[in-house]
Amino acid sequence: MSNLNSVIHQPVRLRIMAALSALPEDAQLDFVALRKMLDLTDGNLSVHLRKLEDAGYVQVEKAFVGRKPRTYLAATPEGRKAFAEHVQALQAIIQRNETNAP
Amino acid sequence: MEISKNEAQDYLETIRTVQQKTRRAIANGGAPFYLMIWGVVWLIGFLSNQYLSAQVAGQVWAVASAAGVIASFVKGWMMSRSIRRPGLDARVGLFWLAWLVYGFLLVWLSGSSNVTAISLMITVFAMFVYIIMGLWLWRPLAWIGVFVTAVAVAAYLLLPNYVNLIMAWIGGGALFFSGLDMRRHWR
Repeated sequence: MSNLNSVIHQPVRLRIMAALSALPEDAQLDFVALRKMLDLTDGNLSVHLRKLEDAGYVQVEKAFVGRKPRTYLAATPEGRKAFAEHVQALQAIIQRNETNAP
Repeated sequence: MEISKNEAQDYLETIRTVQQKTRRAIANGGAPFYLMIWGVVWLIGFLSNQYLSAQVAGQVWAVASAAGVIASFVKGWMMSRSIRRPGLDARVGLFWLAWLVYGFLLVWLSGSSNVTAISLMITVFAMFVYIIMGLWLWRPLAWIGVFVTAVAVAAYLLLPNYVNLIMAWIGGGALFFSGLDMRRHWR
């Protein structure tokens, strides 16, 4: 039985969670920086962020830098845990297949 | 939800690539840059102590340090736009500002006109801050502080005629190559 997380498994959301989980725990990444890093459109990133936010995996915070509004993103502790479990599940699939190989 | 071994490998490879890219974005700014820029400032400053008159060397130090401060602030500002660490950013900035003020006060109160002694005083004071920041933020920074302080004191006591050259190449070099190594390591 696979423990893959259906929210995180979607390719774009997997990449979002991979990026945010790579940050130090107290760090937040700018929306524009993440969009450029993952080569996504504003709309595409927003849609997937909403789903991750609804699941409680990502925290979205609005702030002003000078007079410009900016959106900062971070993986929540629940998000980091779910992502780590998802990675473990992927590794387990590989190991299981290697064990069963003739 | 079931996927094949190959699909799982592809997903893990995607995760590895994205995380490497994120770490590179962090490594491209911040600590490695500051170490490298201040390594160059020290190299220029201490070489000027060795080869130029005290008055000119003092001016070279002032210009090189001002350039270092400006470059550090610009880089810090650029970094804070894409990756921020609430609470930590402001405290680190204020910490260095306080260091700058206290460094000037220390030099002024010492009343020394010996450029080498003043340079070493600031160096050792800077390394003290590296040790503190290393203990709190990133341990290797503390070891860099201990190493450069030991080199500075040993050179001043044992090889006073070569202290500026030693500090330029070993002190400045330690900062520069630590920054370079940190940058490579985080990639």
